[in-house]
Amino acid sequence: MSRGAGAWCRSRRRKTAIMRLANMNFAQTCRANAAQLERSFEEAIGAADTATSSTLMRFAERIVREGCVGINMRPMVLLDFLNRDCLLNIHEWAERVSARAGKPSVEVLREKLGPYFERRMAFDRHFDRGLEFRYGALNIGGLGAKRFGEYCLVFNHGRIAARCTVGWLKGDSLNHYMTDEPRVDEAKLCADCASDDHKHMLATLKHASELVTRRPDYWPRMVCREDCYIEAIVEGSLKPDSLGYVRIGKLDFDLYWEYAFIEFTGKLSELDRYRVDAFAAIDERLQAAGVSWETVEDA
Amino acid sequence: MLDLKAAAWEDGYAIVEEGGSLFTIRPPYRRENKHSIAAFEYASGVAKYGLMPVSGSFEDWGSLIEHLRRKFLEARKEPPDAARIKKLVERAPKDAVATYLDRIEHELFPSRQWRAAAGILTHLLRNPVVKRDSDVLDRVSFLLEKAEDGRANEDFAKAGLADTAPPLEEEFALVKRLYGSKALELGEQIRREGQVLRMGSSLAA
Repeated sequence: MSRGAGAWCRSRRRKTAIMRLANMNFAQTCRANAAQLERSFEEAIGAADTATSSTLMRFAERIVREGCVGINMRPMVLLDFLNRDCLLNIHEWAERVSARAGKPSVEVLREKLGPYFERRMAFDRHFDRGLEFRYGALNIGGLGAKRFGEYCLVFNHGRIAARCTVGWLKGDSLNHYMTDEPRVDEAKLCADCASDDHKHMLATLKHASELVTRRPDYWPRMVCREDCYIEAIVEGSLKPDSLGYVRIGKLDFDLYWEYAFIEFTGKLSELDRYRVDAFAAIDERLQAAGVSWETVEDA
Repeated sequence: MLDLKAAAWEDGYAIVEEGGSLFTIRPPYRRENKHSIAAFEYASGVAKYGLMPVSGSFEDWGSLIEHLRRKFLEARKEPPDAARIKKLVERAPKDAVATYLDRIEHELFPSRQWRAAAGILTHLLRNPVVKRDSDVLDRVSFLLEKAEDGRANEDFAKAGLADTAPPLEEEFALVKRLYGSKALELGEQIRREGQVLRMGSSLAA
């Protein structure tokens, strides 16, 4: 074989490898892990004493019963979702900005994601429908990652499952399943993912040791907080009509109603007027969509 | 020294580094809106929740918050919709309605903010929570009447200031020259007593 042909073959092999990587199917990968999850779950239940196994089972049942996709949003992001009637992911958002600003979407993304551009792109491009992924977290109550978004959107799981494919990852995709290069750590990801009907096993195995020491009223916070959550990866479009309800901290909720009162006295600051106006617009649209608020006492 | 690391200007959210530790902050910039986060959460803030990497150094929290406030206002293009904010009162939940009524009685009435009170109460009449509960509806109606009375009295008091108006001779300088002093006397009498001429006497006769 000539030197040129050898180089061509190597290049071809490399391209094939990239193509193969870029065609990983997340839903299929999740399904492929089902048997292993079932084995591990049974082992964990079998190895535990009676009280512990009962707690694990109760937790697993609660995940089956209440587990759903939660997404935290800032006010203007939520308003955009309600106005647009669909949730744009980062790639779709960049396309939109690109069309408006007249610069390539990849540049828009680079600017938006800064040092995390390479990782986000490497992860999403690794999967055949990765550019359509929408990220959320498993939620069984509570405010989720409230530091990054005071509104926690809770989707009706039946409605989402009917329209989209939902897969689950034991931890955050960018923090746990990327190598330094960055490339997707396939071995780790394959062992840590679950399809929707196995999410309760994934969650139980993740929290098994902690569950023994935590009271059930802490479980929602244990399952989903800023630094620890089970990531939901949704393939398909998320629309406001899939919303179950929107959770908000009691302090924030009360404050917005207070702002509405102060508006009549003319003593509300400009910033607070903008904030309560966004809340009013959100409330208006939620009411029209038949979606209600759920307030949560702040931790 | 504080370093601004990431922000979402339009919502006033930010990630800030202070002495090697990272914090998130957001409006209304109270103590409970500031939280410590781990370094890896910064990645989530940017890559997942859409905060944009930015930079800037600030002497203290006051100047940083001032900067965030300014950027927030710059990022919002449309002015707030006052009518929409006020209409929110029509959808206020039960707890908020109770708080509104207490505050109207104990804050707005004593400080004679009749218009503000009447505005809130008028919107409250359209609130289903009020409409459904006859006790609450009665209370709203009673307070609204009181607010309207207060407003009317205030208007009357303001109108009373007209008594200090200058004499007619000064106010209508040509009247005396054109119609004589009798016309001015009649004008002063009307100002004092209202209508003084008999009306409809020919019909009555």
